[in-house]
Amino acid sequence: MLSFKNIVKIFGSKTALNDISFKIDKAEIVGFLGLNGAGKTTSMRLALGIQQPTDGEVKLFGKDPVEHRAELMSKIGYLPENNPLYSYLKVYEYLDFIKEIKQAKSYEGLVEQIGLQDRLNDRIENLSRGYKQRVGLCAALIGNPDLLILDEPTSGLDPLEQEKIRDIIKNEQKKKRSVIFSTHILSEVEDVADRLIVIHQGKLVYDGKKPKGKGAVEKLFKKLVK
Amino acid sequence: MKIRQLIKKEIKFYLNTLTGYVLVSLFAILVNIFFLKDLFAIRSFQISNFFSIIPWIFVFFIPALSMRALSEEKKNNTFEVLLSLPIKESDIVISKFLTALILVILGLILALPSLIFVKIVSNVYVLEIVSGLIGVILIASAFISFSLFISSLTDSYVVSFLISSIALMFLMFFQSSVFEGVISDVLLRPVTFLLPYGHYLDFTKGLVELDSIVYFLSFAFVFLFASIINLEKKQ
Repeated sequence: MLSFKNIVKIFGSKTALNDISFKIDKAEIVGFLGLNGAGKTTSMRLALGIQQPTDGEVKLFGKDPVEHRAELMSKIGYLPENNPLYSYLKVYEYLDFIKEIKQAKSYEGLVEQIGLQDRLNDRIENLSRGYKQRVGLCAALIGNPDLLILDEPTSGLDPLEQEKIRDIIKNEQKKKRSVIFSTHILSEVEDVADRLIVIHQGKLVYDGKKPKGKGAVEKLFKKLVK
Repeated sequence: MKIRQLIKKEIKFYLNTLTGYVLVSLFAILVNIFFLKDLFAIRSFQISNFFSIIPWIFVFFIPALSMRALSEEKKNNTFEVLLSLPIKESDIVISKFLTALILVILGLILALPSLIFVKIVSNVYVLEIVSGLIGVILIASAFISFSLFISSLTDSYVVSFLISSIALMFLMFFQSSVFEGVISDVLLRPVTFLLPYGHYLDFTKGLVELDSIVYFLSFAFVFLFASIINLEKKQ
């Protein structure tokens, strides 16, 4: 579904990613862990073809995402970091726009699942942060994407909102959909992911099954980034 | 289909915020003032005088309309949202271009009552008005594409507005008469050909010249293409 082969990404004099390789298969929920500036967002942008690697090869559904971006994006749902939205639109106007661009069917079921049915007529700029995040997530889920890429989906949310978003992500696994989500909330990975990728200072320092047991992820992460 | 959806989203920005109403109204008011000025001040009206003033209004109006087009998408990171959707960079640029053109046409429609009034009280030929309007739409297309290109270079709409306005003002200011006696006659012809105002003036005199149409369409195409290339450049 997605593969990184010896990926190097350099911005000016800074090496953001250094020789990263991994593969993500169908129906996996992968937690992307790393400190701020570790290279998580860069990895996601490379996966989408929004940025180009300095060296190495990214394949998304077997194709180069930079060359075939527009074509491949119909299979992807993406929630960018900080969830940029068109604040001047009403919720339904934004979701309609995404639906029509993705040539998807109705999003009514999704809206109910995510809990947005009472907010459809609200202007996005008037929504709370939690509801804005739900709008972004709903937009990412429109069109039944095969792969969901979520960059810090629960960042800045209160615990109840975080739980709601986590439930939505967990629900996606039942639909045999792959999810990659980045976070620095360790308990979130423990709760949601079944595989863990840890990037530290641009290098891949762990790629494997999530360690079992309460606090095991935190213990592993601290050991890796020490 | 996708361009239509993108235009719909763009138009909603102008409908849901004050920006569109203010800009289009201001344009229509200015156009109408210039339209009727001659008629009431000197009791004569020449349609070419009216049309010759419009590009000068465009020098500020079009950069104001286009400044946010791509700059704001980049500044607010919504450009990343667009890139994560199954749309091409060319769809984005073309939709921005067509939205701005629709707003220009809307501004011109608001000026139509004055135009009809002038037609009734003076002996202006309809074909003269039609050729002038074709010229207005062509020069607007060229200016919009140029402003979009500038907007694709920066994520600051103030910078985008200033650079576009100043550059368009220079383009308008440098007419063939400025170069007469400064450069040789051999060079004067190609230099004149490259400047938009001379081509535009033909339309205001009721002349629809093929080379002028080709000039404006090429101008628009070059800068739209440059904007697309600029957006396609990956970091």
